Amino acid sequence: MTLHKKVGPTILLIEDEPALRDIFSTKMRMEGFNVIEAGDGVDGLSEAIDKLPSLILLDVVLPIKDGFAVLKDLKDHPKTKDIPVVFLTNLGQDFEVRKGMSLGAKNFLTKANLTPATLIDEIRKILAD
Amino acid sequence: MSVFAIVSIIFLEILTAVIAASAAFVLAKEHGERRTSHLAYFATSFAVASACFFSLFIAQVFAGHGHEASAVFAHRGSLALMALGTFFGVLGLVRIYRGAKYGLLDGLAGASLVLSLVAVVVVDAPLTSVAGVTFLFLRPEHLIAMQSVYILSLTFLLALPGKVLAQKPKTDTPVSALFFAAGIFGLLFIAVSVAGAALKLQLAAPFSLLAICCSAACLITASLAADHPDAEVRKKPFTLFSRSLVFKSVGLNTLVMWALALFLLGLTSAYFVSLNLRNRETGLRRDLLYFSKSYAGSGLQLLADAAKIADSDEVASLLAGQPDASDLDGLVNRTFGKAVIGRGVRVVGADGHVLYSTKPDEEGAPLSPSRVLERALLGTETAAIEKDENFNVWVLRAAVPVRHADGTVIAIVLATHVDIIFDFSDYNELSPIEAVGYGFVSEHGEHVYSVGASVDAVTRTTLLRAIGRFPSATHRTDDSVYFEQRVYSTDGAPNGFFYIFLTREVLDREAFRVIATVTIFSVLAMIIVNVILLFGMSVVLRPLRDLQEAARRIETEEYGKRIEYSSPDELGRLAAAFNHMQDTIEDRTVRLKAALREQQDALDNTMRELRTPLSIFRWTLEMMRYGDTGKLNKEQLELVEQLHQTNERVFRLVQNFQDAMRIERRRLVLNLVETAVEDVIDEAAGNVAVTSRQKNIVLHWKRPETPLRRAWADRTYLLKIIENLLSNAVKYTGGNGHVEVTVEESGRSSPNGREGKFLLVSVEDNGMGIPKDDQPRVFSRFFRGRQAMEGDVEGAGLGLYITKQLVELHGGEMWFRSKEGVGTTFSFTIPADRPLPDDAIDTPHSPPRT
Repeated sequence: MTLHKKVGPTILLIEDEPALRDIFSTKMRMEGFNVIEAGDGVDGLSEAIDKLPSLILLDVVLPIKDGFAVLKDLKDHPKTKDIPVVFLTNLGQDFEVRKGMSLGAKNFLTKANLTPATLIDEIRKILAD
Repeated sequence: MSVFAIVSIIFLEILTAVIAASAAFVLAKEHGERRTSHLAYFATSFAVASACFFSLFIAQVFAGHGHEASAVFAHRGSLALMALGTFFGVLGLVRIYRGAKYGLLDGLAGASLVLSLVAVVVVDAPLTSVAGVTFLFLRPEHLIAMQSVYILSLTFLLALPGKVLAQKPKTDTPVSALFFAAGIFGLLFIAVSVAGAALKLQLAAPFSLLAICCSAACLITASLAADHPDAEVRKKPFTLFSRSLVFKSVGLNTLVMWALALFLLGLTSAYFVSLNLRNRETGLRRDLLYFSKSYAGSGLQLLADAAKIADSDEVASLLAGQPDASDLDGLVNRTFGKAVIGRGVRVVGADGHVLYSTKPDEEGAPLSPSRVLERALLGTETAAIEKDENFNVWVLRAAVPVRHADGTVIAIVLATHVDIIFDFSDYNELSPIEAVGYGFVSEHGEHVYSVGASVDAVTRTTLLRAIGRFPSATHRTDDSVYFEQRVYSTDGAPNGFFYIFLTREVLDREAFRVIATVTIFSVLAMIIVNVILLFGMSVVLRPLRDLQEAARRIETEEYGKRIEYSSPDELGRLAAAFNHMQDTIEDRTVRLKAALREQQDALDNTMRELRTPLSIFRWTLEMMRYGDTGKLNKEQLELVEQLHQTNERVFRLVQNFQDAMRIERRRLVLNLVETAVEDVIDEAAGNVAVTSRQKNIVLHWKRPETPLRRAWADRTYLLKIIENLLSNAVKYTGGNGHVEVTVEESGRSSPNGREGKFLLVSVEDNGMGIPKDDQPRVFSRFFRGRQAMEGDVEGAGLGLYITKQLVELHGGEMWFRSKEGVGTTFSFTIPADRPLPDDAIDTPHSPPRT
């Protein structure tokens, strides 16, 4: 459910590594998405509640508040519970994936295997639902 | 020396019999309590051994009284009993070392028993005297056959425990060492007995019996201590005796008394034996004196009779040439009366021809030479013992000269006494002659007469030489003692001697009889005194048993019963002090329990009350986090987030604390369901995933391909257990370390635990490890590693203590292996067996079913 429609759908990227954040947000903006960036979990949650994006890309290992905690809060809050969330992370072990999926994420993408192109495809796929 | 030997042999025989009987009694009592088979066998063995030694003693008593056949029978009986007793001992020994099933060794023992018994019945063994005590004389091959069971038992005593002693690691060695020692003493017994018999050593017998006593002592202790339920006794068998106050006090008394008894016995026996011997000697000398006086009397009597005849008218008329035989016959008859049958009278002329004889065919014939006759011819009347050459018999002769008015000898009256003048059977009825034999020997060493055992020519010559010219003498040889008394003819010439003798054997038997009697009475007295002592001490020390009982009851908090013992002695004061102490303990315990409950209740309440403010914090913070209270700036949001996380930590702390309290107060109830442990590990791993990533620790958890069997667990608590272990592992592992979780099925609850179906979970890290000093305290309540990471505010979560309790509540076990600087592995098991309906409720930490 999107409440804002600006340039394209709004995507919230919560990633603590600045370089990575830059790469992904640049690519997404090139594809016509509106990107909001957040560098930690607290910021990310606040932006999500404020801006109500169409999709949230969430890293797990974040300072102050980790990705799992952020997702839990997102799902608890009525405004944000329906926003699709995709994990973008280096954690790849089965149990980590399972934890993430059990919390309600739509997908779990490993940064190592990710190319910007694959990322865009994923985004479009999920937004299409 | 001999008396000492006899005393010690008898004493030791009786002592061994009494010890064996007491041992049998004690062992039987133990068997009644413990129902162990080897105890029954050893009890029987000792009872039979006691009978064996009694039988031995009885046999010697029989021999002492001269009943040889009974003595041999009793000796054989004693040997048979020894074989039987040893057989039972072997059975008991085999039970201890080879277990309860009967096997080859028992068959071997049985065969030896049969061989021994057959040998005992069949073998021909005479009696022999060792140091004055009779035993059976056994040749080596007989001994081996009769004692084959005993020899077998010694082999077993050395081999079976010896094998245990030679093993490493050594277990229960004191008991085996005692059995081994018993075997050594047994060997010593054989060695000393054999050496003593071969070298005829008198002291060998008491020492060999001493060896058997020591062997018995070792056997008794070892058989009581073997397989004893108390491990302390198995390690130090002699504590069996030092544990009993009664034994210690009575034992010391007994030891002193028996030692004293032995000493007194030796003294009194020596005294009585020497007294007895002296009496014997005196009696025998008196007998000899009687003999010689009797002989002298006979001689004088015969002389008087002959003189009467010589002075008679009948003889005068015979000599005057008017023989009237009938008149002389009548005179003879009148003179001798009834004894005339054993008498002979001749009237011999100065030329040596028989003028008259009570035997008519002698008249006219010359007489055989006779010293008595010659003396009479020379004018002296004499009586003496002489040998009649014609008939080769010894007779008593008296010759009285008949003188003419002018004094010349014209004839001799010769009276002969041919009756046995050495027959003292009438005297024997008055006062029995207690000798082996007595007799009369002539001046030339010829045998004249003997009663009882006779002496040979060599001995007679020796005796003759011994008496020399003296009127009497005592001659002692190796095995006999002879008393000699010379007799003289009426003219004072030596005329032979009487002898009377005893053998050493007889003397020894005498000594044995005396000692045996004294010993029996002493031993009986000793036994009675011991029994009284034992009984008395048990009664006096009974309050101690009550004390022990009462002390045990305090443990189970039964304070009701007081010790009833109000005597003013030390035990009474102890009992009073104990009762007072019991009251104090009861009082204090009740108060402490109340105080503890108060404290726990207070804590409970506090915790419960904390939850409300914490909840308020939580909700407030949530609102602020979500911006419901208005938009917050970045710094504010961060602070709120920190507050939120801290609050959650406190929340968890309170929850954990309450869980811990519930476990402590045994009020935790588990909701056991079939749980897939893999799922729970998944969840736990997911929960620590971020923390471990942040520390760069790799968390290995690979879910097994095929699902494992399910555990019966309370999911919530199982999660807590695993989370606790995982977070500990992560916490105590430095950066770039790894933590690995594994799960598998197991057949035991722990490496040495009970059997069953379990799931085994292990958490292994390569962190700092647990120092060896800390390892014993890891599961204790307030343990925190000395090398705990800096900045660890949270603490050990539930704590390993509680975690372990939870695992054990489930029915599993928990343990760890750690090496400092290398890493740690914690493992625990959860049952996969369906719990029985009572299991979840009646475990030690659960509250009782109401």
